[in-house]
Amino acid sequence: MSTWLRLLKLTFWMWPLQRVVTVLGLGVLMFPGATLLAGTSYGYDMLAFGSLAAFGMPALFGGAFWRALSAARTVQLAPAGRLRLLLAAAGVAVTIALVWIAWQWLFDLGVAPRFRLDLVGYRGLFVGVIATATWWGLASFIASRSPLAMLLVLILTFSSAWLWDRYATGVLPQLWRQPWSIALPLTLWATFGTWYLRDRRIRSPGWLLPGSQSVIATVAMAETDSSGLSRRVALERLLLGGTSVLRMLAQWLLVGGLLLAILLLLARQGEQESRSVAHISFAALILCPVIVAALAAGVIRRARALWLPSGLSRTELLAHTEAVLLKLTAGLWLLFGAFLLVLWYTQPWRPGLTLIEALLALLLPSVLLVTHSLTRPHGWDYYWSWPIVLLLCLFNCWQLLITWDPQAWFDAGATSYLLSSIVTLSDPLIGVEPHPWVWAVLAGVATIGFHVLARRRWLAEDLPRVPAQAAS
Amino acid sequence: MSDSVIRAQSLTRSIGGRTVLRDFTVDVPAGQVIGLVGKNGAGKSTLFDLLLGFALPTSGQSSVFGVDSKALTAAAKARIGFVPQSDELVGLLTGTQQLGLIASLHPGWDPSLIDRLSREWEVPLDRRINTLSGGERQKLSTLCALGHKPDLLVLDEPAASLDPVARRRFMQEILAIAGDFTRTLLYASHIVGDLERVASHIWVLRQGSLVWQGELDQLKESIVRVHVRADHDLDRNLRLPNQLQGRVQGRTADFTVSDWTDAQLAPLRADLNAQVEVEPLELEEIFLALHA
Repeated sequence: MSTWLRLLKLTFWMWPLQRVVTVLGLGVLMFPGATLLAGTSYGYDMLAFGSLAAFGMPALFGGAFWRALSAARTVQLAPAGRLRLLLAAAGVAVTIALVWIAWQWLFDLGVAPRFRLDLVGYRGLFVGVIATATWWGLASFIASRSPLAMLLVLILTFSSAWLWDRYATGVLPQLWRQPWSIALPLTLWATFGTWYLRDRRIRSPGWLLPGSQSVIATVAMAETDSSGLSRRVALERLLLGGTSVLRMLAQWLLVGGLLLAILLLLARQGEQESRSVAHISFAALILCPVIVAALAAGVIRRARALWLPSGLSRTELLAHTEAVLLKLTAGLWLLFGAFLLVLWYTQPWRPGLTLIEALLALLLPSVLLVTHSLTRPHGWDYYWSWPIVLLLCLFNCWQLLITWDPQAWFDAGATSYLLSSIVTLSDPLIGVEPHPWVWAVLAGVATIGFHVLARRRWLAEDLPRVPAQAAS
Repeated sequence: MSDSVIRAQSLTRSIGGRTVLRDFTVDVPAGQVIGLVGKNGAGKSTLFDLLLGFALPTSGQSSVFGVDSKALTAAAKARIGFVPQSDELVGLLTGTQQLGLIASLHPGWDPSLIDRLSREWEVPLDRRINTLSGGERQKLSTLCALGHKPDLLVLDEPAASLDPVARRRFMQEILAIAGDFTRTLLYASHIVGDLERVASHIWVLRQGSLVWQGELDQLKESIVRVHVRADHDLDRNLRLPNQLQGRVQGRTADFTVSDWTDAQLAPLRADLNAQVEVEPLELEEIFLALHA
């Protein structure tokens, strides 16, 4: 269950009474009859009743629930748990705003066109609801350690709303219609988020009844066990050395994106620079399988440590390790594929193969390397495998830079570890350049072969002891 | 068969033509605390790897909780806790995170036990593992193996990097865990003094062969030092039956012998016409004698 859904469930759906009022409120807000009553006072009455029913309980207790969830051990242990919860809280605010907009749209269906909100009006409504939810959510979160403080926030909010209505009618709706007005709630979120993410320990609201605490704990532990993470996530994190696929991709995105931006800036200096940058950039993309290979070695080494605690059989452990690696490969391929697309459509110089072939040239060797790595339950030897892989890739890149031959590029990508050496050796010997798809098919066949071999070896070989440093 | 926690029958493992473990046969009922001693390369870690399914035997077979070691089921694995010689912790995580991840794999995890032990053992759970000392890592590794309260706890040199104070606390806790006579502990250590405090049974491995298995008290009664004092010079080539070590110097002689029984004392006195005294040995001395 995603963090957003978890928080949404806690806010609107945990207690039987809460479910009843949520269904009632949303039903009233959304009921098509609202459109029939539009333009009459009943429509506004229904809006008030529906809003109170749907958002009353979250308004009163949402901050406390959010705090309780933030204090839960599960959130502290989850990858980027605090950040995810913060984004989920913002997501709840956006969800509420969208519900409101949906209601307004239904409402507008029943009124004459001149009374309907225009786009600016809808934007203003959206910003207004977001701003209100932001104020209420953040203030009640901060105050939720004490019921008295929460009461003060409630009084302050309603009294200020009354004051605005009494002495500055129309000012707020006018304010929300300004294009820059979204900056106000965003600033609040940024300021609060800085504190929220940095604070060492967020304490739970101790005043919540034990029953409520246990319900919140149930939500916090949804699909998890005593430690807060599902088995699948825990296994994945242990295999990946404590991180997650998303986090790794974010790091590579940051590094790769920065490099790409620099290269693209350099490419704008002139034609010669553009050509050089294209050469370097396209060649550098071949690092995708190299990175996959290096990461695969570490993941496979760590699999031994999971033999006992995971309870998995050797076949299951292999399948799980392979799944994690393929997930990682898919992510990296998407990332490098995105870099490729950027280069493809911004640079005048590009390899002579088609875009599909280029994307395959990144994917196939990566998958090939995953299955090849799995054929060695020991993991690759840390000290010599890296230089060899790098050397082969550099050799291929060098060929590419010298010849600018699309075949070389494809060879370099699709066969960066195993097949490229055969290609570069066999080309001069046989004097025939095989079609790229031939190598793609070969890579596919080799992948299947390695998979079968890996399965056999994992059943028939030891899970060897690994030095602690290497396992880390 | 199902009463045995560990059973091995002629378990043998060869690596590159060299036999690392030879014809190993044991049958361990529940509740024993077994100390495994042997020099470096005697085959202790290989034995653990074979019993727990990490490695596959060249011949013979073994089972844990009645399940073949090569194909341990999830249920059997859930009853095993293992502390390897080289920890397999994830360096980038904090201790809390590592424990949290391991806890996620065990439905029966006991956080209160871990909280208590981590405080008593002073494990800095909030620090990244790759910043911890060797001893701290070993303690954390042990916590990871203890949290699900295993029925069989296998410890491969768990206290090697601990200072004497930490080791004493650690051993006290191991004693407490072993104290209920339902858990089985298999504990390999070079620090035989530690084993002497906790073990009920001892296995001695020498060059891959099990040269002794039995109760600790039985071992200490069986292997003793015999002091001989005579009024005359003793024969320089004097040897006693089942002698492991011996030294003759003029009118005195010291022998370390195995399979000793008190019934041997009177005939020996008569044969040598000398005063003969028997001294029990510490486990460490027995270990040294067995490896002499």
